[in-house]
Amino acid sequence: MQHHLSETEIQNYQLKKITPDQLLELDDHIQSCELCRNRVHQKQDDISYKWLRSELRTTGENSDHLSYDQLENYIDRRLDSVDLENVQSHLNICNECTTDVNELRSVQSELHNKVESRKLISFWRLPPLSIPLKLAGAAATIAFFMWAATLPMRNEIRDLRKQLAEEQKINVSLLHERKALQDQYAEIKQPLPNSQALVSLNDGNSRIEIDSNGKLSGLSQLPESFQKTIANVLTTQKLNVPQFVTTLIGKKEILMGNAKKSNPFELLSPVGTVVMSERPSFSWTAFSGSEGYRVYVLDENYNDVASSPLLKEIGWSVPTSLHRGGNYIWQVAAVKAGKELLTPVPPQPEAKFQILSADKLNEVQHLQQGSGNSHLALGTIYAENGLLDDAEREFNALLKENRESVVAKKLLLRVQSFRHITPKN
Amino acid sequence: MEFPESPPKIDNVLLPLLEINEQELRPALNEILVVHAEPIVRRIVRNRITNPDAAAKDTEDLHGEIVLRLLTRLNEFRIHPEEKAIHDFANYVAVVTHNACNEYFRRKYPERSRLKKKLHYLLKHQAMFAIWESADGELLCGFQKWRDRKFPIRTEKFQQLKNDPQSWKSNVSVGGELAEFVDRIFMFLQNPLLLEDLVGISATFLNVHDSSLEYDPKLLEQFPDTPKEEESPVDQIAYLTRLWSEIQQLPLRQRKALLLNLRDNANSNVISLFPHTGVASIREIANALEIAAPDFAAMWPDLPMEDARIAGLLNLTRQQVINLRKSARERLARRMKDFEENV
Repeated sequence: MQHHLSETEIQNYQLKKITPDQLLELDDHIQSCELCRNRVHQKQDDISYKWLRSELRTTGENSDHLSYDQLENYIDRRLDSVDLENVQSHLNICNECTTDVNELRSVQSELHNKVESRKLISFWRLPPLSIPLKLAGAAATIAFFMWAATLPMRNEIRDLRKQLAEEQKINVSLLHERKALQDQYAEIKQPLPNSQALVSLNDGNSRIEIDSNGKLSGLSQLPESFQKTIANVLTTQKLNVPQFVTTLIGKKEILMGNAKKSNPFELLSPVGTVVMSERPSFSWTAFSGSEGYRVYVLDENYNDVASSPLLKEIGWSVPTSLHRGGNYIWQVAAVKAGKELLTPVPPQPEAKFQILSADKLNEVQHLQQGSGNSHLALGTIYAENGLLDDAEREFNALLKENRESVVAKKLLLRVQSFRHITPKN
Repeated sequence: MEFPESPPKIDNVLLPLLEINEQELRPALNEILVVHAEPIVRRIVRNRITNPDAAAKDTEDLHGEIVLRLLTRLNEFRIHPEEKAIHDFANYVAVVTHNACNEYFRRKYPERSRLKKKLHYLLKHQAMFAIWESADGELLCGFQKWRDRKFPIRTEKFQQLKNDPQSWKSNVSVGGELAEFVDRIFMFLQNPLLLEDLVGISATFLNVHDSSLEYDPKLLEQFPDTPKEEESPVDQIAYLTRLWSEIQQLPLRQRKALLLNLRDNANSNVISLFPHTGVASIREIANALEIAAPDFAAMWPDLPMEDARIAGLLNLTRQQVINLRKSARERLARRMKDFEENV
C-alpha cells in the first residue's frame, strides 16, 4: 500500500470494521508509516497505557510467594503441567522461593538417607517405667541387641544370595557365549580353500561375505573406511561401543539398613542408551490398577526439563526438543488411589539416556544413507555411537535372517551384554 | 472448540454490591466488612499471633493489609462480576487472611518462616511423625501414634522447654539433623504440640532468628514521595518495547492467557496499544501467540476474549487460564520493576 490511509480506513481500522485481510493490510502500512500511526493513536491508548503500567506496579507490590502446598507438591512432583509451569515461572524470578525449594530438598534428602537409623534412635529412647519393666526391658534389649547385631549380617547374606543368583544367570549366558565361540573356533579351524567365504550373511536384499583374505563384499556403497570397520566386526565379532555409555547404565545405589525396594513396574526404553531423536519416545510396562501415568524428565543436575500430563497409555513422546548431546534421567509415576508411585526408586538404578550430539547425528545420517537396508551396517553404526536400542533392533533383525549364524548371534549378544557392565564410579 | 460454562455462582452477601449506586457503595462495603469479614479475620489473626510482645503491632498491621486486599477484590468484583465472582465469601475471607498472615510472617520473620516449612515437610513425610488438625483447626504435630489426640497439652515439661531451654539443652546435645532433633523433642514431651510451638522451640535451639526490620522514621523522610514527571511518548515506547520483549519470553500458554484477555477497567482491548504505537504489529502478535496471522486477524474484533473461550482454545479449565495469567503478570511485574529502577 503506497498511499496514506483515508479517514474512513483509519476509522474502520480503529473500530475493527474490516475483513481480516484488510486488517492485516492496513496494519502493515501503519507499522511502516509514522504519519498514519500517529493518526491511529487514540486517547484510549493513553488510558490503556496508564492502566497497564499501574496494573503491573500493583501486581508487583502485591505478588504472592509460593504457598507451602505449592512448594511441597513441586518437591514431591505432584503438580499438573499448568501448575508446574506457573511454579517454575515464579522460581525463575524469586530467589526467596528458590531458597525455600533448596531447603525443602535438603530435608527430603535427609529423610531419604536416615529413615532406618531414626527408627533405632526412637526405640532406645523409650522411657523406663519401673524396675520390673527395666529388667524385662533389659532382657528384651539383649534379645533385640542380638537380633539387631545379626540383622546386617543376615541382610548381607540375603543380598549375597541374591547377587549369587544374578551372577549365576550371567554365568549361564557366558557359558552359552563360550560354547558359541568354541563352535565358531572349530568352524574357523577347518581348512578353507582360497577365497572361500569366512562369514556369509543374508542381510536385507543382499548377501554379505568376507573371505579368508579379509575381503568384504555386499556393502560396496559404503565409504571404504567404514567397510574396513564392518570387516573387522565380522572377523572379530567385537563392537566398539563408546566408553561414555557406561555412565548411562545405572548402578544400584546402596542404602543403609534393610532397604528392600523393587520397582512396581519397569521402564522399557530409552534406558542406558543414546537416542537419535530430540523428542524421544518413552515406554514402560503397565502397572495393575493404575489410573494413569505421569512421566518426568530431568537433566543430569536433576532440574525438571519436561513432564507429561496424566496419561492413559504406557508410552509418551516429549513434545519439545531436548538438548543435543545432553544427558537425561526419566521416571514414571503410576497414579493409583490418588497417590503417585514412582519408578525407578533407589536402590534401583536411574533410567538415563543421552540425545545424540549434532555432529554425531550428521555422521550417523551420512552412513545410514550408504547402508541401504543392511542390518549389519546399521547395527554397527548405531552400536559405535552408543545407540544401543537401535543397534539391538538391527542385530535382532540380522539374526532373524540368519538363524544358524554364530556371528549374528554373537553380535546381538555383544550389544545385550554391554548393558550388564557395571559402570565405574 | 469452546466449552460453554455455567455462569459463576455469587455469594448472596455480595449481591447488593451489584445493585447499588455509588452513594450507597460505602455503607454497603462497610456492612460486608464489619458483619461478614471482621469476625473471621479477627479469629484467625488472634490464633496466628502467639507472641504477646508483638501482638498489638502485628495485629494492627495485618488487619490493615487484609482489609485492603478484601476491598481491592470487592471493587474488582463490582467491575467484573462474572470474572471475579466469589461464591463463598466467608471461605474467601479465611483464605485471604491466612495468606496475608503467611506473607506477613514470611516478610517479617523470613528465617523462622523457612524453618516452619522445613518442619512441616519433615512431619508430613517422615513415617514416624505426623501433622494433623486440632479440634480448633490449628496444626498439631507429634508421633504418628498420637494422631487421635485433638488438643495440645502444655505440660510442665513443655513449659520447661519453652522457659528454660538451656537446662534441656545441656542434657541432650542439639547437633545432628533436623529429624533427630524433632524426635528428641517429641520423646521429651510425650505429647503433641502446636506446629507454631514446635517452630518457636526449634528456632531457639537451632539459633534461627530474624534481624529486626524496624525502620528509622528519619530515614524515610529523606525519600519524599515526589510525583514523577509526565512521561514523554519516547518513554512510553521504551517501556512498551521492553514489555513486549518480556512478553515474548513468557511460556506460550502464559502468553496466550495474558494477551488474549488483556483488558483495562473499562473493558477496553489493551493489546491494541502494541500495533498503535508501532511496538508490535498484528502479525508479530499472531506470531508470538503461534496463531496464523489471518486466523488471528479474524479473532481481533473479539478481543479481549472471555476466559472460558481461552480455556477452550488451550484445552484447559477456566481456573487454569486465570492462574496462568496471574503467573504471567507477576513475572512481568518483577521484570518491569527492574527495568524501571534501572532507567
